[in-house]
Amino acid sequence: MNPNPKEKWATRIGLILAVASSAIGLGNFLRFPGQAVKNGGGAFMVPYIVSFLLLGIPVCLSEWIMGRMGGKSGHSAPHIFYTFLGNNFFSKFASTIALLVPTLIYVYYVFIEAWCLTYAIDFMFGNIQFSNPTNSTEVVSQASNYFLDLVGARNIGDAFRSKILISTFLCFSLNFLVVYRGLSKGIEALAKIGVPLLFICSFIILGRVLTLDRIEEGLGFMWNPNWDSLLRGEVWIAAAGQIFFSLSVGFGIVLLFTSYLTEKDDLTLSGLTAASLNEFVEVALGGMITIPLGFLFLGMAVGTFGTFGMGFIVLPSVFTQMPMGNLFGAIWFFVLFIAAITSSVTMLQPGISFLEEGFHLKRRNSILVLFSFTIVLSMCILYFNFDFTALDYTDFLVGTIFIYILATIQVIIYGWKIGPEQGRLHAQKGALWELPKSFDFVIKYITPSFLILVIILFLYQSLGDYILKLNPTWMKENAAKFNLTPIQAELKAKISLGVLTIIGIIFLITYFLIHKVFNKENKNG
Amino acid sequence: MVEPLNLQGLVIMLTSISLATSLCIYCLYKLFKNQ
Repeated sequence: MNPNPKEKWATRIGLILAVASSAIGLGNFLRFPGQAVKNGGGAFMVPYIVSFLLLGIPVCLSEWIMGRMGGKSGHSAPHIFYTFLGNNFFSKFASTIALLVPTLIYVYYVFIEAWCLTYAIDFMFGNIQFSNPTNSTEVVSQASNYFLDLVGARNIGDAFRSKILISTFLCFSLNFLVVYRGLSKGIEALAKIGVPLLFICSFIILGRVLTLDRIEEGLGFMWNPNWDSLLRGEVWIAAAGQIFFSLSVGFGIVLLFTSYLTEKDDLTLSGLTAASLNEFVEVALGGMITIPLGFLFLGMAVGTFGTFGMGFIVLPSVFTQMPMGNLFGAIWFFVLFIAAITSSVTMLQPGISFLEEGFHLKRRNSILVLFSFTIVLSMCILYFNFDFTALDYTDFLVGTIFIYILATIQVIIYGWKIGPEQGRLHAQKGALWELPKSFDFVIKYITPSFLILVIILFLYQSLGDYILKLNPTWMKENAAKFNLTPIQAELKAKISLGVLTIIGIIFLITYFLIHKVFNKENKNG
Repeated sequence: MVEPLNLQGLVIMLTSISLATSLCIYCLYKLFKNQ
């Protein structure tokens, strides 16, 4: 093992901000309000808080504890899983997923980050202006055209002819520059600047939103409860899924970050603080801005837009109609850009640590290898961005299924391999807040059951669709369902199949590399 | 037609924000106290 002895966190608050900034992303501002409105408005907060207590906090704290426990001989995920499970198939399988989740999510997340940057710049220079401002349908249609042209979603290869290509390169350079500077001078320093900046800019936008005419109607649309929704199972699944994705559990990032801590450092209160910062941004900022603002412009139709539609079509439409809209639009997309970049930089660190520890590469070389690998894949995502197909399928496979699998493996290792009591006793070392004994029961029985139930119901709801979307003949026959021509529908299926094949190949290669590293570790004793 | 923010909505909104804010402030206070 070759953990880099120079790497460590400069301050406790720096680590907390780094973990919080990794979790605070577009989901807090765009996904949460959309889910709340679709699932009972204010009533959604009941399953949301229950999920936070039974799923979010336990998984989050178990990650913090496992990271420090497993990080004595190395920091990357394979070294941590090797410590707990030894050299066997499950250990290598979990390590492969833990490495691929952050790295492959980075590959498409950086593209979305580039959208935010481009919108912020375009608003700042007054490049986003739509004609006929009194007709909201017309404005939304123009905003939609602007978005689809920018991200190249109309045809294969369109993104290569758009300015989004330059923005993506710029985001790539910024991300790798930050990680090149290391843990404390790069990721921690960015979080210390980024999080306060994000708060300041969000409060400026919030102040503007709350002083708009008729804002009480927008707030009513978001927060007035529909209690009947609590009887629908999918509302509970949506709440659990939102908590799960929002806290970024199952990413393999917290494991790495906390592996640098010593037994003198606090785990529990720090983990809880990072989670609570994320919740504050989601509920107090995300819940107050996006939907109320969109509602004022579009009325109830705002609830029909998905995450991308809400963020990149509805809100730009609203800003163009607002006095000083260019300024507020630029600030808003700058907020989203900060939320995105502070998350994306943390996604690169697991890959870099693995290359440094497993293959003894120097920082410069590991950066070069990871840069080459991720930019090739990102360019594929851009090139095949027709109807967001490559992005959507990668997000489903990696950003949903792999994350669920990894989180379940982590919880089972913690509850059944390490043992909750052992974990709690370890967490007490240096603790500023002691875990209650009831945590043992929750993490051993309730959290895994809740998690597995959510996964099964989620797969039951959506896996069938995603499998059908891989079949070119089925897609051709059902093209009208997706508002596509048969040729376009067939193309979508072929792109999805390509994504599945490439991810499969990458999975096998990564597994093989981890197998090599584990064998080397075995020989070294 | 959507009803403007009603009493139930207002209570849920304020309670949710207060819970998130107070948890955040409590954690930060405890952290800095032990710094």
